[in-house]
Amino acid sequence: MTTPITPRDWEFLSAYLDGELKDKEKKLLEDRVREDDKLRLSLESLQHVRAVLRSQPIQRAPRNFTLTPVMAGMDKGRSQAAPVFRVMRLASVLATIFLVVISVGNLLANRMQPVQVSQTFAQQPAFGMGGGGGGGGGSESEESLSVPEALQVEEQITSEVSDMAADVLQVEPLPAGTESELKAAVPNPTPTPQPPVESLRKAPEAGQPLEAESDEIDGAQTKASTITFIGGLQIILAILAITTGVLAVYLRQSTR
Amino acid sequence: MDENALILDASRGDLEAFNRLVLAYQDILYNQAYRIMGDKDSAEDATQDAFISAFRHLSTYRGGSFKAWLLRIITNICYDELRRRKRRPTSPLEPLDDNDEEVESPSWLSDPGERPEEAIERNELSNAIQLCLGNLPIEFREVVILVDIQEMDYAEAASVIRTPVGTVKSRLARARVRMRDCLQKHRELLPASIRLMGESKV
Repeated sequence: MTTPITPRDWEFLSAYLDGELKDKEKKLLEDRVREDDKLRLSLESLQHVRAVLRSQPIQRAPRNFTLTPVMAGMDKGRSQAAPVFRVMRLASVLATIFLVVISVGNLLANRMQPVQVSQTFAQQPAFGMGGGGGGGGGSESEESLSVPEALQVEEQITSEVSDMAADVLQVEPLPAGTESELKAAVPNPTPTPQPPVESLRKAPEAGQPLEAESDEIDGAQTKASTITFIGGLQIILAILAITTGVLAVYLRQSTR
Repeated sequence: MDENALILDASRGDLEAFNRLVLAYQDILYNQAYRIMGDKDSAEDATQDAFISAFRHLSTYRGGSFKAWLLRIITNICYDELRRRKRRPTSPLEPLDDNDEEVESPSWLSDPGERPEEAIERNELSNAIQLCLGNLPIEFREVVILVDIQEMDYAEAASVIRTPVGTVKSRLARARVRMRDCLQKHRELLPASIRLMGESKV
């Protein structure tokens, strides 16, 4: 008896050769092979193919494939330096970015500052002295004040207020002769103590304009301290960017 | 030292332990790569890449057959290379002689210890098998190499190619039928013993 060989039959024949059939399947196939010549020839043909393939000698490795530390990525110096290099590179980049952002922001702020100051000047009553303010930077217009100028103005205010206070405290001159008697009675006259500048600044004689000037001075001081802080920060960031950048380059060069 | 201890040491970074595993498995991996790729240089490259990849990814080994794990790595590497070649074909399978014609029995297949007639016969059969293997679709080729050349059982082969045992069974049957048909087409390359056997029984 001969029946067409189906793909299922080929699977059974192939698995039979490898001993991968269950006992029941194996017995059933053996019975069919005994009865079916075509199936028997098919089994034999597969058996030959399998035998030929299995007769092939193993191809020996032509060399050893053992790994060196470099191949395995275990170069110690490099692997240890790699994280440090990455940190240095990142720090340098971040410091540079912050430096640029702060510098640009500061520059923009300085460009906007003179307009505000001139407006303040226009609104103020004349008091014989300039107003405070004036941002740092040195790019101001003629009406704005730099930090040294603001400090100069403060000194000027202080001296003027002192003069005013002296005028207020001045007494009428004594009659002739009285002065010599008083000198005799008091051999070491103590000088009249000068009132503190701060209290004089708040004196009612100074009036409203003095308070405004005081606010401006405070503003100038605040701005001056801000400018100093930003300048310091810029310097620190620049040093950080350069140092970490140089270190990163050095690490990269030394691990190559 | 047993294999598990070597694997454990290697996974902790002990390169010497890993290299002992390399020496134990390099023939198997090279043979697998050679049968899939069909040429010695590509097989060497694939084998080296497979061991490097295995060492670097040893932490992903979850027990079971280490041989199957290594064979899976090298099979995947060979696939990637074959896919790359398919996109950018470069060189023929057979080496060329001075006249740019394929050398049928290349000298690199010969074993210096053999007698000349044995070497010729073995080379002819080897060429015929390699030619027919190369003609198989890759999914059939890998199964027939794993089962008939590496002599793995179905379950092991299934673990290498990550398919069910039933798939291995059906692919292997179809691959063997195709191999049989191919070898019959290239009867002139087969040694006389195999040819006569085929004539009488197939």
